[in-house]
Amino acid sequence: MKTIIIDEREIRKQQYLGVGDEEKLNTMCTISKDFESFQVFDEFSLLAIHQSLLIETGRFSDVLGYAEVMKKPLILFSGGITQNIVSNSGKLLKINAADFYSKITQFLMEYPEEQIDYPLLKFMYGKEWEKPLLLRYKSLLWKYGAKETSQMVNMIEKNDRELEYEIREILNQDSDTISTDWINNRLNEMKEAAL
Amino acid sequence: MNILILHNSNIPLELFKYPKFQFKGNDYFSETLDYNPRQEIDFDTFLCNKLNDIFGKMLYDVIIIPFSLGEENYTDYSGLRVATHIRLTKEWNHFTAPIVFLGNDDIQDIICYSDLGGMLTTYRVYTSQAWTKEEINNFVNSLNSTKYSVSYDDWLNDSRFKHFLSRTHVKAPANYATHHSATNKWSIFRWSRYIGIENVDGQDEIKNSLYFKYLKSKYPGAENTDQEQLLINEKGRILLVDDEAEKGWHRFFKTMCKGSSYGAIFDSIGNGFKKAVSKEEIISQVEKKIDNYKPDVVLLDLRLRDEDYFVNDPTELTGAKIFDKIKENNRGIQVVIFSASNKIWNYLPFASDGIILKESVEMSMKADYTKECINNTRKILENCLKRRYLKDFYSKIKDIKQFISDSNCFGDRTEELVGRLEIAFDLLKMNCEKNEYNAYAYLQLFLIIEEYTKLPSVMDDTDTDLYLCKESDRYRILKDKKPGSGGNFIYQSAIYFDCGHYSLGQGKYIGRFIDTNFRVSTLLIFKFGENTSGVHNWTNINTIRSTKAAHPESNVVTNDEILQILNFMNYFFDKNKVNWRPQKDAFPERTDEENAVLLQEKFGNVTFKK
Repeated sequence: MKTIIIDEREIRKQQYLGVGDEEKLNTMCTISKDFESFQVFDEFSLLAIHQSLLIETGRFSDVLGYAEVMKKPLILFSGGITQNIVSNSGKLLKINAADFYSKITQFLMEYPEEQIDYPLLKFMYGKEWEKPLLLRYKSLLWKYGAKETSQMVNMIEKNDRELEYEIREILNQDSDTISTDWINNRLNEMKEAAL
Repeated sequence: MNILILHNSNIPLELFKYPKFQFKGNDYFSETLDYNPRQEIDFDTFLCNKLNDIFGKMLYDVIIIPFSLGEENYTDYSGLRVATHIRLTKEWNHFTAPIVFLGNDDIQDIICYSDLGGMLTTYRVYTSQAWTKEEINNFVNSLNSTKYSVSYDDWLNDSRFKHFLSRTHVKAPANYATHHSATNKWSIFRWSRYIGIENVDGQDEIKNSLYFKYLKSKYPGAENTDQEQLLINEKGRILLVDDEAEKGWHRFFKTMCKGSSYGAIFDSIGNGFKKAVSKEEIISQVEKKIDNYKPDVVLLDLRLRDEDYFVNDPTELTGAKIFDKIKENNRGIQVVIFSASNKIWNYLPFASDGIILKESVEMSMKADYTKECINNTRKILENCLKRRYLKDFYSKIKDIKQFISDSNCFGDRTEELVGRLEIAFDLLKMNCEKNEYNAYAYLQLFLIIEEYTKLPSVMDDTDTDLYLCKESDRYRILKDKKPGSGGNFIYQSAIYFDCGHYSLGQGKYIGRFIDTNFRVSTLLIFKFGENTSGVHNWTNINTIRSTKAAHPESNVVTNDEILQILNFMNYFFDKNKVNWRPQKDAFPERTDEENAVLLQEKFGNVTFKK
């Protein structure tokens, strides 16, 4: 995935990565200490930026706005982030800096192509990237007291409907297929594959 | 019962459709925790702000939370983080409230994947897949929700709480992942709170961070009952050199110095270190500060820039270079290493004046460890401040060294004499441990004066006369040497002894040899133009040499007396103080007739041919 990392704290980066991984990462993506304009982001499919740099320089909202408009997946990492959170339809990830650097090299090795679907889920979960979606879907069924999607269809609220549709699209399943049992099976398959 | 439901619209609709509803005798209150990642604040701060409001309103008997609050990341298990906050926050007063996790999740998975999952097996934590109001109400009614009335302090010692702590693992955020950063933050918080600083710098971070809440609960520490005893009671100037100074240490030490009724003064430097482009720039900033501030004690962190964390050789650390510069300039400035490192052995070469270790998390297990640390810090700083005279001493010794080197009066022996001055300073430092060392230092210093007066270039001691040398000229001070009683000799002298010191005027000198007092007095009167030798405390200095300094077993040479001899030497070796008397004040050179008499006395009758 064609990625740019903006991190002004070079030493911290070295600390998290270690010498070997740092050299490897340098060959797989573009790394910079800062950026002058959003134009530099145009050629990249994934942006990863140190959140504190954006906050300290007053560019936090602008970068978020840019990424949303340009539909570019954005990772904001920082040492102070205590809870990793995905939002904006999987296009924004806030992640602890240590977690970010522990995953980025492996992620770029696994996905060398320029563009991929659902990059942030794949970044977070690797091969198990569907797992949070399955769990979310399972919780949607539970929320509506349904065993399967068809049962849920009539009662689902607008916000959840969009979410439900989106997850189904990503999982590439039609509404008749997905049920709690189906999800449990998929989760078990994943568990076994991981073992 | 009052039942609180915390959610992010991800639980059965009827539980959060209305902010408040009643069901079969129970009151339900629903509150949304909808963290927006587009905000600049972090999740813990968001939670704390929100829960401060929620728990400020009323007391709840039961709290219901889903396992996760994330809209799109269902495995964040952020509900567990919320519950852990509730268990660990004294101020919210719900630390023993029953917590019900609601959802159809696999409990084993949660315990496996979340560091906080272990809490599901602890006291008053329940899970339920109940879906309707009826089911949930039945479940809640089935719980033992009797208020568990216990103070937070007692709760911290309760075995059920200890069990909760043992099952819950709160990881340090990445910015505290190194031992240094966590220790630094933790000790600032602990020490500041202990000495009564109300609003600790960065307190919000400590207050809101789950990691620090966890540490505070795990290691509550003892309360300070006698604040005054922890404040510094010694005069002097302390400078802290630490890139973390502004993060709380400046305030902590400033407060500690407030206790000094003598007026200890504190300042710090370190704010600009992060922005400094090089090690040299930091060193230069510190040098300037030391020049202007003139500290007696420097509290020095050795790692002052990010790059220092990757330096293997401790002597290459920025702080180590500053240490060298300080000691090069004045060995008497006390440099106390102030470190968050757990590798103390690396710093021993720099720790001769003292080392203060910041309180690390793992050491906080001991309840009164904070008190011990602060007490130790106070003692070290007080001791160093007590030794602040060493700075003055060394400054004077340095000047004397300079005078001796510049004048080259000792010729080939200059290096040896300068070395003696360094030895004297080492002895003065050692006096802090044992009183005798001031006497040894005194003798070393006095010896330098003695050696000087015996130099042929200073005094020419012939068989019969004593001359004081002034470049190509000489002053005849003693003459007409005659044997006296008891092995003594009697001279005619150009100075006379009266009232404990010598003055200009003819008299007699009686002695087996010409002693240092006479020699120094001669120099004071003739070379420095003084009227008597009682100036610059010389008489007293000479007396101390032969009394206190010579018998250290029964006497103590005081620091004031050391200062006297150093001041004297500063005067005595300063060529700018030289003010020769006219040669006529001494005896005239021997005439030919006098020479003839001397030769006759030595060799019998001799005839001289003109």
